Amino acid sequence: MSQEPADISKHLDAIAFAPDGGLVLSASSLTNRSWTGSLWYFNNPDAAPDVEQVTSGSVADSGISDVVVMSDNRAITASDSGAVSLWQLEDPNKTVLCKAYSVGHDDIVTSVSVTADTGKVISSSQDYSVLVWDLEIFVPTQTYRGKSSHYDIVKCVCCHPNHSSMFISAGQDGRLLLWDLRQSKPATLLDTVELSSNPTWVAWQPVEEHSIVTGTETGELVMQDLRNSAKMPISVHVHSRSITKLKFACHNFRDRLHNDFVTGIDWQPKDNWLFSCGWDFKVNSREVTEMENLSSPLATMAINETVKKSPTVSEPMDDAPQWNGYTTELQANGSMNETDS
Amino acid sequence: MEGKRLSCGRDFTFSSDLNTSLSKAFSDGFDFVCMPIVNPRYKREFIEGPAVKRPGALTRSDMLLTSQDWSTLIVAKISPWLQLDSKHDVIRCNSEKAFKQELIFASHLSVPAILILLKGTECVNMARLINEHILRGHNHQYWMQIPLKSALDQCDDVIQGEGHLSGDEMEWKYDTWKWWNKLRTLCDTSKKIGLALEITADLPPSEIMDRWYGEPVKAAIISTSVFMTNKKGFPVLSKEHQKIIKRLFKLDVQMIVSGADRHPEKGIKTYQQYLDHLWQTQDPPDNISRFAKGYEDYLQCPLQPLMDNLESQTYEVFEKDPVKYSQYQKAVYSALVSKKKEDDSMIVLMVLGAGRGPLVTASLNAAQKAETRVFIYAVEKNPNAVVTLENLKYEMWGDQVTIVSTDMREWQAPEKADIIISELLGSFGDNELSPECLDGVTKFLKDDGISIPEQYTSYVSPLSSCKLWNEARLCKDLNKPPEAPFETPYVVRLRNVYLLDQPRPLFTFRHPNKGIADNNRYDELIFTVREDTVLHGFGGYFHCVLFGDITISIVPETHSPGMFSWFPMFFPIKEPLHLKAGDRLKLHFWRVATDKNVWYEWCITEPRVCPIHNPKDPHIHGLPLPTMPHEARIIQYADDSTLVLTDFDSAKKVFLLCELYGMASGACINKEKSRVISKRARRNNNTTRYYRRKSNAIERGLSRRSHNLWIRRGLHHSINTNQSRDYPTTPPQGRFVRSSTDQRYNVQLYPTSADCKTTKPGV
Repeated sequence: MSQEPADISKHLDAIAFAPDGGLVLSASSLTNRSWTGSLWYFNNPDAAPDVEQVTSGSVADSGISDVVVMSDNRAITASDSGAVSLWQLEDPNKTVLCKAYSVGHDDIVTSVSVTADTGKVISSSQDYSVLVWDLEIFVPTQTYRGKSSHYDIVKCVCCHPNHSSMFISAGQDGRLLLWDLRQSKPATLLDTVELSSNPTWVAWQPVEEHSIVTGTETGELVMQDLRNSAKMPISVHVHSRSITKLKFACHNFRDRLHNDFVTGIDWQPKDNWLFSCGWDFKVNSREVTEMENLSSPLATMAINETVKKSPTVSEPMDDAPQWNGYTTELQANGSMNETDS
Repeated sequence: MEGKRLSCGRDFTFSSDLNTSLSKAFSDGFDFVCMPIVNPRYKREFIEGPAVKRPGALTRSDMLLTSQDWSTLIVAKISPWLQLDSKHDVIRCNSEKAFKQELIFASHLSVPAILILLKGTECVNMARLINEHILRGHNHQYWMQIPLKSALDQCDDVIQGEGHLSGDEMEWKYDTWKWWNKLRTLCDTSKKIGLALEITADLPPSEIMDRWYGEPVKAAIISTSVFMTNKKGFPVLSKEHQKIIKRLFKLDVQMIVSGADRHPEKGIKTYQQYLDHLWQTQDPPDNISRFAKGYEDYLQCPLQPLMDNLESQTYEVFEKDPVKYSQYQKAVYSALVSKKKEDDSMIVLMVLGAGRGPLVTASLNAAQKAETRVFIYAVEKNPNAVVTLENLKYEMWGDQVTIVSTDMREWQAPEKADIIISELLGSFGDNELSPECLDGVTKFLKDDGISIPEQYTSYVSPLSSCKLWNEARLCKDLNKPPEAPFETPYVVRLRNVYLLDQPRPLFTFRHPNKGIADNNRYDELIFTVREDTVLHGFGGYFHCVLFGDITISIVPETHSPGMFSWFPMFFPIKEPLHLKAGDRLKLHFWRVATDKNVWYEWCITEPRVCPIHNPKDPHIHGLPLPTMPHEARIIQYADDSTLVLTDFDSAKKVFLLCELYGMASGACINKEKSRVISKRARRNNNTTRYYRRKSNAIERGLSRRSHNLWIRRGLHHSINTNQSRDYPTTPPQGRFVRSSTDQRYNVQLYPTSADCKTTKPGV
């Protein structure tokens, strides 16, 4: 599976940065005759998605909806065929090589996440199940299916950045589950009262260890603290359509550079640039600079204020992309600003 | 069953290349595939924003396969991300538009079936959209994929804490049959909506499972995750699952294997081979099933042998029953033994309704075994069957048997009988008018005479089967009132049904009937419903005691093994009735007997009162006329009259009236020349010749040959017989509503003679 296809499929699904600054891009073809996919590596991120300037690439047997790149130049991808694959970006050309391919799910895999100690991979799928894989031998060690805790499509799993046995899953059944693999009944149902619709993406806040941010189908963001239930969850309505991915930023902004669904976002490791890709076959980048520095003790107030105050670089609603990758930023002092791209 | 293969398909949730997947599936032994029409991840936006104008094709080209392949090999799957019943307008509208887009494309491809996932009780909007699509007249089936046990029901083992649904909500969420019931009721029990039952690893209890067997299950989907591995590493199913699948095989379902290949060393074809193995190792069909093949759930009009004469074919089929005649022989033997006299005098037997003589043969055999001398009168009204009887007498029976070619009710027997034997039973026992016939012969049975059968009892049980109800609904006839198909019983081999409760006995008739012969009956039965369900009608059976402890029966609990001569009856109800577990169902049943007719009426009073079915309207129904207050009119052309009636019962009443008046006046209808005019009137130059359409069994009762009906100048006058054979070509305009091609009987009936006028053709 290391042939380099002639063209990049037009639906770009995910981007991730390798530790040395190269861009890993996954593309799928969701219409026309072949519903295949491919994985690409660009030494120069700005060159993406030009197929002439690609450093290396490889075809995949089906579309790839999610990519996670680890610090040792290995990537995990979520395939539409129900498989989770392990890829190696091999020196010197950073050739994209498939090291392992394992079908574990009965349906499309929606997202993958690597645990903090890079020992396990968690995958979620449209077959209502969550699988825990061992990274070394690359087979599923635990299946949460049937006795699954979700009774509808599981949209996203996100591992805790520090604790390697905790992760969160969000499903179309409206459930948010906090998993702790050390326990016999690992899943705990989280309070989803604040969510006005089904969650689509969830992420752990990098600074405050026990807070999560959830994006929903109707474009709202909810931040909740898992430890401190007295602290009210904060919810803001920022988009008009479903939220696809979440990343954290330090500043506010909004732009509408894409013409179709925005499906992937990632930060370039060195600079302050945010890259995004979408189904319009564009990879856009923008620098996120400080526009406003707010320091406010109360997170809630800060949010409301920032929303009103933040100058938005926006075009009229008609041209706006329907689904925006949304980044939330958290300032060190605890205020929360939103940006979206 | 032999020679036929199990139809097994492969479910692809995703496929990179259509042709590759297809050829892989076929090489693995599958017969068809389930394929998503549009990529399952391809979400679309229809309302606003630049994504609305997304360029490119929706999905693969239809040119990848020939249209023959599309319409035989592919079951189209709808995208799983749709949320048609979402509370958020934007999500719902986008889902609706995407749903319609996919349905229309699937119709464009002419796939035979569309697989739609039903995830819960919120399905009202989806039902509306499906309904709208059905009404467009597309010719495919809609398979609703419903799990036996909901995904929610199978959850919660891993979650800490308690569930937070109210009791009612929990029941709805867990009972997947209710989701199905809601959807199909919303779509008015359309014939096109079927079930693709997903067989889950956990199975519901058997009372809940049983309900599914009355539903139109078209396919059963089984995931590879449900299979276990045997010692040799092959996939197998647990005993419980095997039982359910074998039961579903009887309903002719197609199997679908879904999910990833969990036995990669053996290959996915091992799953198909295992299912085929289950199919081949089914219990061989018993006698009745073999006989009934092709007739399952097929509605037939009950025979009326008293009114019609049976045909040679019918006799031949019935004579093949191995059990019935051996039981009769046993009964006759016992009866003869009990009647055996010391002086070995002749015992007189009468076989009433001898047909082609099987009962006579059985009686003679019994007599030989019992070593008694018998003399048999074989009475048969069908002159054609008498031919067979006379031949048998000449060749085999000799002087022991006397053939009597007459209706038993009109026979004057020369002597009294010791034993009378008859087999005049219908599926509901007395529905072929056995009591009426046998009452007519009680007078020449000796005082200590025996009747075989001694008694028979009809049984009724409530049942749920939307398939049968839909079949009845299709029997709508434009000439009859719209509820007519629900007010007549049918004979049907019950298969795709769910019996709500045990059959209970209804009417009993005993013979000989020494008392006053009143064959009217009325009774009420109370049933208890076990589970939430829908009532579509009642099944009818009978249990008959021939003599002593020798019985024949089609009640399921006491069915005579291997006896196929009778299929059960089905009494439909006009509107399906929703019932809750524990409901008391009260059924009232009548048998109404007049001099000329016998019929059944039935109604329900608990849990809800429903109208009485099949009340006989004493009036004659004709066409309502715009100018006249009366409904009916006779049109006369010289001495010929044409009567326009809306239903056959009215015609029968007309003939009855004519007979009555005929008796008064001395005239009679020229039955030879009366004709029932069919609706297919064909114009041939200047004359309109009316052709008689092939009539159904009921109509056959009136006229095997043509009857010409002439009534001159109204009903009060004498009836004339007329030679003319041509009917008026053009009905006079304005005089009566032009008989459209929908009219079966080209007649209008006048209420009084004053209104009768002579008309000439063309006026």
